[in-house]
Amino acid sequence: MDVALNAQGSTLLERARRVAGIAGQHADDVDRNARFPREAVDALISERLLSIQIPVTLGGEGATTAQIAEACTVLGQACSASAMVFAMHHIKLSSLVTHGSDSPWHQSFMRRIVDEQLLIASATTEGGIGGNMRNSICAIEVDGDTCRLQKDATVISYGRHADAILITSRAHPDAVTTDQVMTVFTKDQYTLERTNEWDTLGMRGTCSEGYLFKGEAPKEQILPKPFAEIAAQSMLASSHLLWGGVWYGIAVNAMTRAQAFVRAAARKSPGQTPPGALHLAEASSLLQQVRANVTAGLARYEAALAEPELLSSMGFSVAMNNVKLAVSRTVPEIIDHAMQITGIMGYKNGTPFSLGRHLRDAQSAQLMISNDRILANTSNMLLVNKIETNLLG
Amino acid sequence: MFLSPFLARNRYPCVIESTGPQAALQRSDAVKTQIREMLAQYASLPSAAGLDDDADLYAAGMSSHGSVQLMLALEDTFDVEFPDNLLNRKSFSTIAIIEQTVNQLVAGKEAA
Repeated sequence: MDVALNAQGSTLLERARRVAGIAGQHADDVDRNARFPREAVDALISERLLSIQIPVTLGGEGATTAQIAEACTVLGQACSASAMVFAMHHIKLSSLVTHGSDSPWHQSFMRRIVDEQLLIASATTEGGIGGNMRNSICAIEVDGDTCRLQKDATVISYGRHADAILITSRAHPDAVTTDQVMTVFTKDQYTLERTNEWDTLGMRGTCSEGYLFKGEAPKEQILPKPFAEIAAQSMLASSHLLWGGVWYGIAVNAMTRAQAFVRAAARKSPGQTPPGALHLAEASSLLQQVRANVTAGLARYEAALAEPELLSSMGFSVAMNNVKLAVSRTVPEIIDHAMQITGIMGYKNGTPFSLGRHLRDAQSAQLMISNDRILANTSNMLLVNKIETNLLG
Repeated sequence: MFLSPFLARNRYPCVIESTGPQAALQRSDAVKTQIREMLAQYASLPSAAGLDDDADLYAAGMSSHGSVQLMLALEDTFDVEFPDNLLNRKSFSTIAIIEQTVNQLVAGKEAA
């Protein structure tokens, strides 16, 4: 990881590890009580990690997606919910950085994110459209210099705890459902009325409750690009890659626990291979597949950043979809191996080998943007996009 | 070439054979008319007949699924294949761009 030092002489990795130390202390409590990981987010703020992606010219550190994904992996090993909040925040920032850099309002908002370490949420899902975020029912209404929006947002992850929300809607009241824009509303510009609880199997600390959103803001807060472009050019890749970083982190921690279990057994009976060792070998191959997928995806994204047409090409979308599919399917498999290794010690809560939280958190990977939806999308593209025939691209 | 099961090839009158500047203009208009018909039929854009050449088709409601169905119909009708480097949003964003792309592919095929 290529890291610059901050004013205190710490690398990005060192800063992320300090946050992970704090996040890990509270992970079980966050999970048990489905509460916001306040301590971890406060640590992200004090390490100034919420603004690393903002360009240096706007006061940030210009961190690359790969560097942010690495931080996601570090956090994911300690507390999946904290890591996911961090990842989602940076997915929103990628939209701002990629599509808001020419707009004075969004530039000054990015400076605010740096100065005040603001936490950004998003509202892309809506009652009545299922999980397809490329459709909206609600429409933003521009009246003079003001825009107004009301949205039945069925999920706004950490919505109550955010300082601003990036929200999608139709571009105007006459627009078709796919003609969307994304608008930034700051906390003082909206109200949230809770409509859905978040009592889930895993990822409980993301507090992804549903709300009726009502906002009013100056119209220049609407991002100046169609949401379709934002979704294709910044959200698709940053979502799958940063989520991939988080999920890889969850798998790594499960494997670390499983390996500690196998090594303890091996030390107790020297000369004999512990029964779990083969599972560990099997799972390490899967772990390497996950890592290779995420890192290859990151490399491809960094290469495509220079060419907007490549970013919105079908080949690139297929590749990013495939990263998400492979990683989200494989991570639960790895944790299952880890569970076979650790047995009852992994199954029980409160042991050094506990894996219940990992298993539950990782199940979300196949559902946050459902893999079925992604497969349908990829299969459509493969009607015209050719299979890549070369190894090295 | 990919043969879409629900399309018969060259169902539209063949309009790409005449030559000369005037003929080129007529040919271009005829291709655009065909594209509008295909947009309505395969890309769920019934409003296509009334769209300007430079109107943003995505803003008019074309989905990514619809754009793929349009590509398949174009490939079948003009007996061309879109190379991967043209499979991006921009290449299918307006009727004018689609028409240019199709003409280039047809010209490339005839030159080959």
